[in-house]
Amino acid sequence: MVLETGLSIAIQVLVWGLILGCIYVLLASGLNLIFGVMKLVNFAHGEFIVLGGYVSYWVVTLLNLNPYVAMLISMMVMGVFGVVIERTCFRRVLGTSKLNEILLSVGLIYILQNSMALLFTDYPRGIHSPYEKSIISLGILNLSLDWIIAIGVTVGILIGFYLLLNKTALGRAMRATSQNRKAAMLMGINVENIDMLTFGIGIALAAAAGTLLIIITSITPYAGSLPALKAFAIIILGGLGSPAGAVIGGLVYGIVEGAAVYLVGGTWRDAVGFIILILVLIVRPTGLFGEREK
Amino acid sequence: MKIVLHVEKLTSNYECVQVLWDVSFDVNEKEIVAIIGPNGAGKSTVVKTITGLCPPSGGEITFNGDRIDRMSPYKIARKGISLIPETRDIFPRMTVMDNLLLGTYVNKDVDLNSFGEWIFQLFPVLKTKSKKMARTLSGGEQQMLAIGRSLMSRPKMLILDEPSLGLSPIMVEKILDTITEINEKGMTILLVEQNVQEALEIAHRAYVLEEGRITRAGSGKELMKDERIKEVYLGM
Amino acid sequence: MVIFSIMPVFIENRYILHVLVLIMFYVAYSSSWNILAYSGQVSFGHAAFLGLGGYLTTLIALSMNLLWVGILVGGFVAALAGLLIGIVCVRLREWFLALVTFGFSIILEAITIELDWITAGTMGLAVPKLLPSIQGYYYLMLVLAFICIAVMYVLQNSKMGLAFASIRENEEEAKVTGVNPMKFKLIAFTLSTFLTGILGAVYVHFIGFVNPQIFHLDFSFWPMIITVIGGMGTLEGPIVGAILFEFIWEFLRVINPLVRLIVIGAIVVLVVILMPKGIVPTVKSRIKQKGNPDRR
Repeated sequence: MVLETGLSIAIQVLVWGLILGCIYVLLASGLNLIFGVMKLVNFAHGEFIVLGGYVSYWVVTLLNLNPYVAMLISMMVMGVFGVVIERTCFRRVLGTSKLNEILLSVGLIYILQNSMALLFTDYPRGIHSPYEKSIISLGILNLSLDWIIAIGVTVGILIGFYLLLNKTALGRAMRATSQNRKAAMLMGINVENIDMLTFGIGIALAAAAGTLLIIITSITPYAGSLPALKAFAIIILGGLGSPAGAVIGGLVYGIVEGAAVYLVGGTWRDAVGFIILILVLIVRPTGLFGEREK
Repeated sequence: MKIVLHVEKLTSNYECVQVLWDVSFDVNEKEIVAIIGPNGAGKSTVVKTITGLCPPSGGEITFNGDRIDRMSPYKIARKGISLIPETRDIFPRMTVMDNLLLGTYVNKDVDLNSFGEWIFQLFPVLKTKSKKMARTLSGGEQQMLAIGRSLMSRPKMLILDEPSLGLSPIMVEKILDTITEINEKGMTILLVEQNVQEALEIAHRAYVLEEGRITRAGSGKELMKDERIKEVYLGM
Repeated sequence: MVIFSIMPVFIENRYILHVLVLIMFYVAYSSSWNILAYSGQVSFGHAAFLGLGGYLTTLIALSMNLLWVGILVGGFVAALAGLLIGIVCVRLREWFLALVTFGFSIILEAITIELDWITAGTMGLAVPKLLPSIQGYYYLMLVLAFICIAVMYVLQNSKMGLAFASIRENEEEAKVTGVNPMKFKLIAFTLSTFLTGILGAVYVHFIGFVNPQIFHLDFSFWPMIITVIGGMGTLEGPIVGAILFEFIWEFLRVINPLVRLIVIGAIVVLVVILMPKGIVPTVKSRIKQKGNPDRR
């Protein structure tokens, strides 16, 4: 009986970790894409996550739509927003020093975060999914239907993302730009357009993550920074530019964090990841699956 | 004969690393034109300015009647100039097939099947290794991939920057034979080469670039017989 | 300099004095961050060292009743931590460094909250007074700011500074010229974090309390924002940036605390896009251009 409960709890924690992992994977993949193609470090990614969550919130609240439908709408809206931001802000700064890029994103953090706080107040918001109360029982397990859908949706999005990158001409152009920007230009690829699209897609993924976040828990305008920074740590751990690293890293991180909260308590939740990051970087400065830079 | 590429009084400054002074030359349709000269003369700079990778400080470059100086590289590529760079610049973590397919980004109505077959005929190794990652290819194979990729875009002119660099003599022969074959099929080619012997053998016409200036011009055969060139470059 | 020294004698208003002290604090803090950045290492978690200094001086003051010693200890411990983090970061590329330094401050924040039997957790500790009057604090901060800027000045004009700059510009090339990047990077870290630690210690004495908030992101970002807006690597940059920053901070306090953050963010974005080198260098080169109309 005890073993059963123990196992049941372990699996619950595991699944919760997987959900967190899904969020992190979406974030890490988006960041990886942006970094891979544009070589850009966007620290403001967290704010886009939360904004995506809020867009979904308002779509659900005002239009009464299914939250997962709202997610798709949010992804599209935020994708466009991302393209606009890239065109107006990042394009001017890309290629100048790394520090400028980082600072631009820090400035954006302040603008976005506080605009959201101004408009939406920092009262935590959550979306009540219609599937909230549905529980699926698998023997000793009781899993919320939402969790299953969340995982399913993430898998769907990731498959779509993978197909885009690997089976379409556009995806090929994006991969080419990330591997050799000069050669990509010589092949007739308009790399600036690719930059815009890449950023838009990365932000759309962030919006998906934000929507998941607001469904399974609640968000405030400030809730985005830490997940984004953790996602950065994840892609560094998994190796910059490695899509597999982003997925595996995200899942592992999610599970470790879930376990850490359960075992060690909330305060350490955020620190755990960075501790692991520092330890790994001491041993392998290019990350676990990292590409060796020439 | 129709002039495809017309370069007039091209000047560049240190922004392009090497300095060019009033460089002028033409490439006619279906010709192989070679630019030869010592290291550091500015050959690569000529290529970079034509393909838009660095801005000239003066002069004009016209391609099929359109001014292309100062245009951005991707627009120049779309006009039909395809460069095979000195460093090959294949996409390392993509398959050979994907690399080739990228060539069609510019020119979407390339009939892959028939055209692809010709490229595989030219370079059979690309067919056998088509699913392998490009970075696993040898130097010569990467060169072939780079040429194949450029051909896939059905360019109006090919520019080859030091195609023989780093290759074994056999490979150099093969590549240059292939260049001749491509030219016989009607491709206009601008060849920049350090290997003077080989370049003059296949070129219809050639220009000598020394210290940023054109010092001599003539047909391939003429230049091969030229005393000074024989002495300085051919070691005779 | 002279103006800054005499001013407090005439100003009686506590509020303005308070602001002035803060300006000096930020000038000093940003300058010390600037020193590290001069060697090409951009720290995203400098608050960690600020907090180390703050907490250490408090704990020493409370338990052993020593004031000034505590400040020095704070500085040294911060420097030690800086050295250790520096050793980890030396091999890393820019944004890895940013993450590790950021992570360090997050970790310290968590530790401080956890170890609440020492640190009183989120409640924080009350810090004993160091000096009797605000004017006193002002002069102290002024001196510290002066020291930090002097260090920067010396750096800019010394061989060591040249080494820093060469590492910042191109580490590989620096190695070729015989510069040992590791050694200098660690010196930069230790120097910068020592100063920051001391500043943190004085700061908490000034505001009268210390809590884990001192490790928070904001404290890490302010020196960066200030310095970059003002002009990284310049002497005057942190000064201009700090004054501008405090000005906006206080001025907009009445309107809406959130709006003022938005404004700061907007300024950062605009400066980065339009004046990428910062205000001071851009203004300087404009002045140069005006003085020499033939130069393009």
